[in-house]
Amino acid sequence: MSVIELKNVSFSYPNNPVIKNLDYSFEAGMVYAITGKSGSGKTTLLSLLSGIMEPTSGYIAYKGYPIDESDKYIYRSRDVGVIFQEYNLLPKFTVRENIQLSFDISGKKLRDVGHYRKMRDYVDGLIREVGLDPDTIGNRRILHISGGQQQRIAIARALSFQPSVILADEPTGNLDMDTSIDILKVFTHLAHELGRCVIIVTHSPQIAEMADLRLDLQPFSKYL
Amino acid sequence: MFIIKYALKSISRSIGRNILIAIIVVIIATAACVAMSIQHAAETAASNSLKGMNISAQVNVDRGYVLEKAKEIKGTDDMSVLMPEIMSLMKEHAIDLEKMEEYCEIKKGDSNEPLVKDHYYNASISINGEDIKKYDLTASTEETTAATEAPTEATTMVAPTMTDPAGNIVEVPTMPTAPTPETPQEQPQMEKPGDFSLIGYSGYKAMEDFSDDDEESICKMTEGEMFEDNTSEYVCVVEKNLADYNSIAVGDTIKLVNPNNEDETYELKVVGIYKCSTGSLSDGSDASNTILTSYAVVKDIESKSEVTNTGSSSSDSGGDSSSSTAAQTTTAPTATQATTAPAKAAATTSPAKAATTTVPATTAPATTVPATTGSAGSSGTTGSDSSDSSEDDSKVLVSQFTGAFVFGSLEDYNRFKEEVKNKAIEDGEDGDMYIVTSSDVANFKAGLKPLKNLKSFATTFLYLTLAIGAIVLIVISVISIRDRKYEIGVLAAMGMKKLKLSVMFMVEVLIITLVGILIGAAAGSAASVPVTNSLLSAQVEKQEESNSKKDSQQMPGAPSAQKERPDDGEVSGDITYVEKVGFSVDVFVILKMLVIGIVLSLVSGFTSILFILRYDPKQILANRD
Repeated sequence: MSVIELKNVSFSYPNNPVIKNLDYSFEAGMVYAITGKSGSGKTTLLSLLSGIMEPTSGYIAYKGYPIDESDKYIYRSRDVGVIFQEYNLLPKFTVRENIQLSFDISGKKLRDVGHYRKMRDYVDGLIREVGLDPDTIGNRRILHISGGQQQRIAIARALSFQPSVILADEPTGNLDMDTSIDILKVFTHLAHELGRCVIIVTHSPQIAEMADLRLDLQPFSKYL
Repeated sequence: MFIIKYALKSISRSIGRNILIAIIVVIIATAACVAMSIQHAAETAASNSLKGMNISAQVNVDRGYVLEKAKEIKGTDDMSVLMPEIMSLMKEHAIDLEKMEEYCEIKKGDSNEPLVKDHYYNASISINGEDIKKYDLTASTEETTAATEAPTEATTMVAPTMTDPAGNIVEVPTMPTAPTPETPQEQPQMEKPGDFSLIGYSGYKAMEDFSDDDEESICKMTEGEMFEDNTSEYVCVVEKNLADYNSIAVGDTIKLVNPNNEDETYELKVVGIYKCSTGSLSDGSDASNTILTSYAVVKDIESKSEVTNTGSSSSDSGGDSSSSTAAQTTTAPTATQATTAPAKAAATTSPAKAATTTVPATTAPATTVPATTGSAGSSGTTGSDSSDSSEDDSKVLVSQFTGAFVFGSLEDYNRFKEEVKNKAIEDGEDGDMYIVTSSDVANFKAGLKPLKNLKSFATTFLYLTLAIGAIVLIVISVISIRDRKYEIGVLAAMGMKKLKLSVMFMVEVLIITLVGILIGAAAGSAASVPVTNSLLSAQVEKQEESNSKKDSQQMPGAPSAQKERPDDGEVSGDITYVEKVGFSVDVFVILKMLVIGIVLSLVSGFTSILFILRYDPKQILANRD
């Protein structure tokens, strides 16, 4: 089932066209790996899919409906979880607070995500899911944890409100291969077991290999 | 709800910066609180000080107005031509007991309650003693000493002496109703003032220097008792110095004589002796040479004097005289009226009590200064009686009437001012003919001046503080928002609406500002009273300095035409400045502070919002470095 679709999407920075008339449909339950050379527009495509940027022409449809200005925030906060290349965690908050803040922004209740215990337990479960010990780092501020841990917390944050689509920009960029494989397993689990659509932008051929579908983005491409 | 939770967390995580903002807010709030409490103190002092206080006021003929009117009628500026016209106008409109009682009839609006709470009056006569001598400190000293000390003594008006051109010391009789040069005595030159001032009071309450409150009272009875109110018996009380000087004891009889007619004597029984803590009474007259009696007695003496000297009695309707000379009364001869007019006019327009305070400071005094000098000069010499037809009339003892109205509140007093004007118009007179003055109100207003000055300073200071405060907060907000651009970008990228983001930032600013305002208000409350009082005392000093400068610049007795005429008359005696304020921060000040705090937060918060709304999350995240 198509979750998110690109409908004749073009995007150009001033005097710099990046994507031209792109059409594609992402299905639920699949892990997509988007590869391509630098400047091919991978991150731009992810930003368009996440709703942070808007296409110059064409549109993006979520579950068949175009994302317009009015529900862009709802889409961003509830339907799509973004793992940024730079993690974009809030340094002055703790690990738990960063995850919970994301959940709070989505406006969802614990029962909406199938959890019937305390928020703290739910957050700790997410930290464990990405392979960290909540008791050790739960109360640490982001500034005081390593890059790899930050990467995982960024993933846990994106998963917190159980979005249908997970967009990850180089999610394993700072991780060793073993950890990267572990993280990939999490994504695969989310896609295959829970029916989420996972779209990963990566440079790594190994990671791309592990995806269900590898999409190579060429500059000014019309097709993936 | 999570917005508030994260706002609080955000504050606690950037504690250093937020404490800095709070300190700035505390400083602004403290300054604003002090400024507002000064404003508040000035406002409440004005309304509270006069609450429950009786206001005593006088109605007088406006001399300035009369002078203008006389100029209009005569068409000249020549004072010698104008004087008779002024005298006649003053006499015509003079306030007497009858008029005073008419004023007392004025009702308070629609209610039947009189506007005037109370009224009292007195009449004074300048008289000599036959068997008693004037109490004079210099009388017993060597002439040379007296001559050298004379100027000092003269200025204090206790025992005035002057040297005549020949170098001899001559005694300047105390002018009971003209204690200062500002109150000119318009007595005809031929009349010789006496050594003593015999004042007849309408009742005990009319005696301002006596009070039931021992601490407040200037004069106290030491022997015997005060005579009964409005008694017609020839009784009096004298001051202790005079009693000791003349060996008078309670029960003795003193004999007084008309200074212009040695055959005309009056005997008064001394029923009491009083002592004054100051040398002079509140009207400025020499306490020791003032004999107190009842109003009825003075009016009786006045009637008898008229009968004795002119063979007829005055038809003065104001005299509730118990005189038995009524039978002789027909109508007052025109000649008598004409000659006594100036003295009477002077009497009614320069009431003893408010003499120094209520005479309008216009040009009138200029014309009357020579009269005073002339009077003193003539009495200082042998007192050459005039030989024209007014010889007999000048011998008549003429009393000076002084009346005071008492009001329960400042509103009543202000209302009365209006009513006096209306009444004058109703009676076919000019509305500006009479002026209502109150040294109580004038003193009170003068006393508030330093506080008012401070209030205007405080207001400017408050606006300045708030303006600087607002600017500082805006700058801090802008810097803070720029620092937190990344955070805004992340939250926006995570789907947090800009409105919620703005509210979160606003809540942060509001919490910090409110905490700052509360601490500032507490600090301001604690500091306001000492700060206000210390600023106030500086203002009072400045005021006193400028007052004394003004006094020294003005020649004694010189006309004060340039001076602006005060609404409520001039201040008399020492002004009691409001030098201290009590607890001046109340719930309204705190509420005002809160409103100011909220407004300041909103101002700085909205500035933040403007920035937040302009931010694009992608750009913020892209330009992170």
